[in-house]
Amino acid sequence: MTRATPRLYCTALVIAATSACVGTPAPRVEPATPVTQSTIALPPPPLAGRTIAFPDFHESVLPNGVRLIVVEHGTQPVASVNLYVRSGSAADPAQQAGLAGMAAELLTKGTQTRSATQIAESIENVGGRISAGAAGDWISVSATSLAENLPLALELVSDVALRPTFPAEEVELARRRTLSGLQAALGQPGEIARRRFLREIYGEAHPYGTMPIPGTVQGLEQSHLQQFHSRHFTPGNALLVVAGQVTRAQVEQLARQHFGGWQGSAAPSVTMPVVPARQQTTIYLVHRPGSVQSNIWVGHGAVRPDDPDFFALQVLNRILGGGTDARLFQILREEKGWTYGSYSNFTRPADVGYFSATAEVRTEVTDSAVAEIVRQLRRLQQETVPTEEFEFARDYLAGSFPLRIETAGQVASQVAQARLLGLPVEDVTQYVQRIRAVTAADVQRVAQRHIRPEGAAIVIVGDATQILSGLEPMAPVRLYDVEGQPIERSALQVRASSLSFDATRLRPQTLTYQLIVQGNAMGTATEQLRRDGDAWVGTSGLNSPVMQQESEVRFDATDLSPIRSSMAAGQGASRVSVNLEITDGRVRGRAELPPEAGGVRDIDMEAVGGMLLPGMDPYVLALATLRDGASMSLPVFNPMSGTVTNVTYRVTGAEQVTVPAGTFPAWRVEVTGVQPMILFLRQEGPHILLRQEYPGMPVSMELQSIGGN
Amino acid sequence: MPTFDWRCFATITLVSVILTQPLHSQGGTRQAGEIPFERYELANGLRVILAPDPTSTAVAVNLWYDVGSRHERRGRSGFGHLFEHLMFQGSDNVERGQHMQMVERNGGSLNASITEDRTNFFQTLPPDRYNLALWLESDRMRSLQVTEENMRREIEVVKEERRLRIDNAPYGTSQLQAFYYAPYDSTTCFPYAHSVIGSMDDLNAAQVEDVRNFFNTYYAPNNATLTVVGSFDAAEAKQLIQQYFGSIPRGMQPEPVQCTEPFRHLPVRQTVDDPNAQLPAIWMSFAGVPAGHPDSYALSMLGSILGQGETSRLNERLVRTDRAALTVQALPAHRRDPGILLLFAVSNQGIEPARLEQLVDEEIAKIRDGGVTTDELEKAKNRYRSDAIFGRQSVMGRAEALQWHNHFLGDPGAIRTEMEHSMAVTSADIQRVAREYLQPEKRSVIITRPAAATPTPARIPEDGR
Repeated sequence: MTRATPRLYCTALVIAATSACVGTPAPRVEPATPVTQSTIALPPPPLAGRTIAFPDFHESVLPNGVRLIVVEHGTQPVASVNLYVRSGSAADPAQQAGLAGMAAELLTKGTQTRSATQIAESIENVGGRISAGAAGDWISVSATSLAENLPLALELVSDVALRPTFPAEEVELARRRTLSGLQAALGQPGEIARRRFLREIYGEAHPYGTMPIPGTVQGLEQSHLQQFHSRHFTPGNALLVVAGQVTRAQVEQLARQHFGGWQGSAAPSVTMPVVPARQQTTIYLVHRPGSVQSNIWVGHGAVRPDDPDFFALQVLNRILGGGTDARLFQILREEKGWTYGSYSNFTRPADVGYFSATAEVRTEVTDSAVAEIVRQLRRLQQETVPTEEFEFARDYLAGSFPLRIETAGQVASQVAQARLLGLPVEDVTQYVQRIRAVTAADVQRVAQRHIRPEGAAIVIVGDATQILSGLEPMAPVRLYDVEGQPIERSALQVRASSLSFDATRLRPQTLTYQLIVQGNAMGTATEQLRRDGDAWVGTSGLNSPVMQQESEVRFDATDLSPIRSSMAAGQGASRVSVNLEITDGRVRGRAELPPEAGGVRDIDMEAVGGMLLPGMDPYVLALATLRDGASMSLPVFNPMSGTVTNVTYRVTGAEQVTVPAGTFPAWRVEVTGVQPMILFLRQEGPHILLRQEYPGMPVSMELQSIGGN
Repeated sequence: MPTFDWRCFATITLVSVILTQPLHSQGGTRQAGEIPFERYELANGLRVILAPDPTSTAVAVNLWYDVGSRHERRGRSGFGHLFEHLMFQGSDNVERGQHMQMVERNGGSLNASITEDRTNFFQTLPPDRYNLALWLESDRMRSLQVTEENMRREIEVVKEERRLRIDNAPYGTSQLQAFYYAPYDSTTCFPYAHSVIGSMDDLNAAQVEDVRNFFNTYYAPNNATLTVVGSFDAAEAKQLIQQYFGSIPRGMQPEPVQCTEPFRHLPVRQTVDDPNAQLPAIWMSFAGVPAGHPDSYALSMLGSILGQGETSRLNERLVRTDRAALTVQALPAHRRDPGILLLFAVSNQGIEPARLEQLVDEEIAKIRDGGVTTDELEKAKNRYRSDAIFGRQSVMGRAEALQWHNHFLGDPGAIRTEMEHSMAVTSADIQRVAREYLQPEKRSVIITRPAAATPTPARIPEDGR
């Protein structure tokens, strides 16, 4: 289910060129007319003698240790202020991962003299903006305003950075926002892959390999935030960058006024552990049952920011996977049609960065795509890049640089970046010259030196039951579940269930639910159970502007064994319908899915003991034995993938739950193995579903009424 | 989930340029941000605006043709949009698709867009390569390949674009109704009573001869303004421009556009059944004034105070306080002939559009009766001026600003005067224009009702009612 907030499209008075944004070179459709004006028949060569000097900037240090960079640049009366503190999420203690991110977010949510609303209003009233955020190696607070409001911008940045109060209620709100965002992210295969990759590259001991999880965020208290602030927000750890139509004298005077009185002990120095060396290529396969795509990350630790090969690696990356005209995209997408996109990257954090080549491909081509990526890495080591291809990459990087230092803010951010990485300013002021000095031979040399297909981590998130056998011949494979726990190969087997349920305890009933989207009622759903001969028939209907769904499931009235299940759903323009029947111990039927989910699929496979068909889960839960800590795993047929996967229901607590139908003592049940859900079931049996939530999504269902039948 | 893409932003920013020109009063501290320029004309009528600036690191080459959907005749609608596509299909010395490739491979960026009043083509390049953009623009102005094959292929692309953006998009059909068909009388102002995206029937019927004539008439040097902004030498640019564009022959003088009394048919009230919409919505288009009209500045501020930003009056009332609407916004559409002020709101579930209409009317009445506060007006002016100035930090932003003021107000230098006019707006002005323009009998109201899905998308007349 996706968020359904309607938004106005691009207004009709604006019709932009699609042709300008897509399109591939194609042969000329008509012969050229004879050239008569020879001076204008050919594209002109570059104009000579046109080197762009990197704009001037001034660096100084306030007496208390705050470093200051001023960029007097730009034709428009604009000022941008950025305060960087050289401690980011890499400074989080492992048990408090997420601390820097939350501290940054809360800076603008209250100071000793201003509330969150007052901070927002004071900058909006003058048409400006303020924001704060954490990166891996630093936290930044940024304000942009008209030049005439520079004093206000500096005052606000100083106030939020030096005197934040981390108000308890804002901490709570931020925690909820963070948890909800985190839960949503942890359900995304791309994020699961990225996290596995970082952990394998950097190991547990390195801060770059440690990421926030719900457990570490839950534990964050106001006092931790205050401690983090007093420890890291010190003048010696700060870099203040002011750019725009400003004067150095004015900025220095204002900086002294607003930051000169800032006191604090020296910033804590962090020693980064060594990035572990990789001896052999290993495949880390994260089993995501039912996945129709595989997310692939291939790479390893690479270079420090000051490595002299950085510029040659930039050119290499542009050739390999730095855009849609690069090799990975052209081969994996244009030539093979395996993926929507494939790219590569060399990161440049303060400590050792990593190299990665990534792709998201259809399940059935997973092993071919991995092999092709590895082949392309080797090719860079074995062959010199052809001259034309090399020159395009080099010239693109050199040519586009001036467009990346157009505004004062962009200039400032380039200089700040160099300083935060501990680099000499020549790294940016000489960027174009250094890129132009790279040769095709350099590219081959750095490929041999810094790319290691023989010592790579290959992370794949996908349905291991379908891709494992293709991957095993390539390299040793280690298996994980989506939570990150190592699993055995035996765990890939679908486990039959021997649990029995007494379906005679069910009673006919009708339950009505409200669908809540972002706090607004957005539709109703009904669940009805009736008796039909030897079977129970459960029907459900959801009617909402967001989506419509109708389903019917039939199962044995004594032992709950499945008989038939059908479902039809629509969301926007996409339609899904599924019809399944169990005969002779087999599941047979057909699933009609949107093309991107596989299209029409005929189903005929062996049933698994204790297997459920879609739509049976409320009735199984109604009859299950629930108590704190209880857990059961049942094989459930997944019509989207056409496979059976184990779904786990785990009771994780008892709560009072209030829904429109009343207040009830309830069990909290976490569901994993499908789209993660949290269910609240009435403690009194049969266990009626009271509320259903999707972690990280602003969508829930709440029980409105209970009726007999 | 539909999101705005940057191509749309490019032109939406343009709209806000108009309403984003605030003030130069109170002691001269509030500068508009100067953009020194010179302008001249080639013998073939090409107008040129040069704004050299040695401190910038890039050069924008920006060409506006005085052709938009307003220039299309009945039975020929969609030609303007078709050309925005055809211009990338190759010319004598540039193969199809090469324009984009050459610019990008030299480190540059580019795009094009069309509105009711103009079509623009623009590229940003490093200073040693702006000559390439001049050459590319001149080659297609001189020798665009308007062939049957190119035309048919791009017509299909345009049709697909229409299906995607209008026919299958929530509120797509109502949006065309609210912008064009309902507020404008097609008998007196066909230019604005039909959509920019174009009529599929007209495009299907297009003959290559008609399309060539359209090119020869509107894509001629005497119908275009070339603006170059950034790090370049003016004398060299003049020489290059003369070399590349000087020999392109002048075209015919296009016929003047007729739009008289466009609003005499108001009020209008219509309902659109939209199978793609999930929730009801309401659109109110108030009859406005041409860009540059003395009341246009106060109307822009009024739009901002009513419906732009989280703390706008309509957002406070409809979304935050009464929770009747999911979203509400004001979209002033500035045009060469009279424009409109459009208010748009989507209902929360269970809320009838009539309720939204009542709430909007109440908020308008409050301003008509009580005016706006000094703080509100000040905030609107600050927002307007900041947005305008932030947008002009790039060479492309400055080129677009020069072009806009030249095209709509007849003088690139109007950047300064327009800001002064906007900053001079008073609370009394706002109250006066609210009384004069925001009247029930001077508007069209479109109600969008979600409809059960039907096999064919909702259709509305494509070239006016």
